[in-house]
Amino acid sequence: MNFPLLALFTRSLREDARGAATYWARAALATFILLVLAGMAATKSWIGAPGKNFFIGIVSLQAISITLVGLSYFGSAITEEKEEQTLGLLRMTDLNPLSILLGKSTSRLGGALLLLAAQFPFTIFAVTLGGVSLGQITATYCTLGAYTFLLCNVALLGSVIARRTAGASTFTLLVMGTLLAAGPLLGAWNQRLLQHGVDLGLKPLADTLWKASPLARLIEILGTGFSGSPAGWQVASNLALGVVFFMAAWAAFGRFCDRVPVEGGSAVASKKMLGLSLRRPPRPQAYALIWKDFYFLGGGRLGLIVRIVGYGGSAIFAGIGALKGNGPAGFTAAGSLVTFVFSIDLAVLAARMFGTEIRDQTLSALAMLPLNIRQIAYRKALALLHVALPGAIAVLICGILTITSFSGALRSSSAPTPSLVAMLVSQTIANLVNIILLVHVVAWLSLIMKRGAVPVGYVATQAFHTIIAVGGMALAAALGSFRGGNMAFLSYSQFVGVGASIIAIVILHRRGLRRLEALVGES
Amino acid sequence: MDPEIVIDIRDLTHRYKTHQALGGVSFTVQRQSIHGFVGPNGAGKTTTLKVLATLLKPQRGDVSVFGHDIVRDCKAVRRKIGFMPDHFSMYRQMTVFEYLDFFGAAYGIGLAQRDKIIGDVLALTDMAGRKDDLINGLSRGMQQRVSLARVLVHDPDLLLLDEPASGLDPRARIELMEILEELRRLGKTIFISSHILSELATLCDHVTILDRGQVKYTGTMRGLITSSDGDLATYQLTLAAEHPATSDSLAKLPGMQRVTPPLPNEARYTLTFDRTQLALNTILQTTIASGGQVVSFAEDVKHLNQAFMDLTEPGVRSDQ
Repeated sequence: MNFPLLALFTRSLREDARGAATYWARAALATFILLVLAGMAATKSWIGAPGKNFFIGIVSLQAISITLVGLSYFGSAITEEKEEQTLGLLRMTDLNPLSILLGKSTSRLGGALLLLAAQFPFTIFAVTLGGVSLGQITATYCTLGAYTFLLCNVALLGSVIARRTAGASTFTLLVMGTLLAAGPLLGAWNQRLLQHGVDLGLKPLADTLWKASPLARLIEILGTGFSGSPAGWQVASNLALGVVFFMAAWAAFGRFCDRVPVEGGSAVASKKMLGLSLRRPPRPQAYALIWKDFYFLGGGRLGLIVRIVGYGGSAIFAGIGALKGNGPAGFTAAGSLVTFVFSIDLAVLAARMFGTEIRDQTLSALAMLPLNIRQIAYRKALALLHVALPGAIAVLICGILTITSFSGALRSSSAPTPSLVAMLVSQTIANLVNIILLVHVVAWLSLIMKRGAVPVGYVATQAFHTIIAVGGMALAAALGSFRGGNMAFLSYSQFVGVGASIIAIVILHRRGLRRLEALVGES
Repeated sequence: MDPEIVIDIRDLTHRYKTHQALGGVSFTVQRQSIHGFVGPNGAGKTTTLKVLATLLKPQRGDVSVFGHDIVRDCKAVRRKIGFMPDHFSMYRQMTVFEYLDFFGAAYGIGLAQRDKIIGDVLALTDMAGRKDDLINGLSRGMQQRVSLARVLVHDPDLLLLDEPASGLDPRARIELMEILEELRRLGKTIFISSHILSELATLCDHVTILDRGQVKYTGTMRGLITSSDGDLATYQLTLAAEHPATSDSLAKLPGMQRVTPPLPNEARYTLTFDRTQLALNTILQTTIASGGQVVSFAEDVKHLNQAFMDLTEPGVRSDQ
């Protein structure tokens, strides 16, 4: 390559084009879409506007996937070079900051956009199912594309500034959260001010910010009778902001990337930086492995306190709020939120459980202990369960409160209370199995991928559930369970879902242990 | 089994997907010896060490450590060995003491005993003054010392060290070798790999040379660098000037097998003789009696690097 500016960019594209993973990912996505489509087609005579339902489901999953996977995928663009201490080597060549940014980030953006483009022809099938038009699909993909562009460049700035991918992802999460929440928050604040007779004229600004968010645009597009342009204000603003963040990353490159400090430094400096961690943990007794992971992976006592306060506080806060006005629905919302946060927390811990051992090359030292791999894995898992205990208790409390609240509300009505409570209980069990599945998927992925196990695991688990749910519905449709308003299919699909999840957990569990043994030999 | 044999490897074979790492490796390691394990990159040293460390199951062959089969008695073997891999296996957010304390506890050593052991290994590795430092802030040489200290925490009888001196500066290398000498004096058996033979020359009493998954030499270090073979000895005799009469006299001695004449402008003779029949004194006396003026008389010793080059094949190993 004689043109240094595009050297890295071209290399990345070539690697993507040659790598089998790229094609497997596209094929997997297309297969997923086709499976869901087939399921929807099988149930179209019982469900209104199946094309629209299918499309909303796919788009929701895509938007969540782009956000979650993008946090680490785009965020690691420059930090992975910092972590492997190869950025200095790149800088010693003729590559200037712009060519590094283009090569490391824009190629990833290209890959993500191509992944979106690969799905486009398949989602057009939704038109044939009814409820959605080609214009809506085109506009949706424009929205997702522009959002991906913005996310990529925000993450690029984070990657330039931060030393590690975790820092870059956190930066991206905060900036994107601020950008997406700015409109609604400003609107709510303006509303409150108006109630007190103060008008600062913030409404136009709040509306403009809200309309720039992909959520607002998707709501608009997927509403009935949409006939607008494929590229609206959201697309223009997201693209413009993306360019601004790219320029900011370019400008910041010299400041943050030309002299990357070597990890570690002096022991004294590290001690000072630790701040609260200066109080060292107590000495290990029996079960040293649990001690190590509890204190050095899960944050120890400080991590436990933070989790008790966080989970306990949010559960109590949500519970009080629900009691005040929202009733059972409030409990359900609070429970869902706490469950979601808990599942992500647990997934992060699961990813770090072996991920850090592999990264720090400590697996062989652990494997030399007079324990087998199974014992090592279980003790590590036990340590993380200690860390996650406050979250588990909060989830349990929310579940009990939700069931109690529902049964109380329904006691006075004519609805068949016991069966609804039974459904809630089975839903709680299903949630628990789903969390265990997510943890297994993430833990297994952490053994085969360097980074991004949490978002990829989350997306893969959601895709698995979608396929099982749609498959269950198709099965129910085939058996005629929908007829006459018979809702028994819901129970069937839940049974099928839980059963499939348990099978997947067992398979992942075995494969994970086998993979660990192989990694010990490779390490 | 001979109690003096600590490691017994017989016909060890291991194949990775693309190449044969070990093809029928056999050798033994004596108790309380420092046994060097040398070979070029890709020779199969690390694979052998991983098998010995119970991290990799042998695909074929028998491997025993202290008489325990490494597959059947895996736990017993692990208690008796300490393995230091060729990379730093460190929890960098721990202090030196916490790191050793963790491994001590993981091996089931009680608190009081652990304190003493950690104190001892820190003193041995000269890290006592840095025990409260975070590992993250230590230099490479110091991390290597901590790594060695970790290996010693459960007081293993056999140490398996995979290229422990790689990346260390000359001072750190010398200090590491001194620590290993001290460990031998304490009764440990040390099996140490390196791809630089000269690095181990002064330290090891035994050596095994591996190349392309095959043992090229196993035995004493002295046996490697001398041309002597059993009772047959090879010596170099250098005279002040070429002296044919001396050469003739030496050739007639009983037990003398061969007297290689010197190269032009040199007066160095290579003598090959049966040491059970011919004493060194007799050779010297005959030389002097025949009028030869002795400058030096010594066993024929090859340069270590030459010995290594003679045994190993040139070029990079290709997949087989």
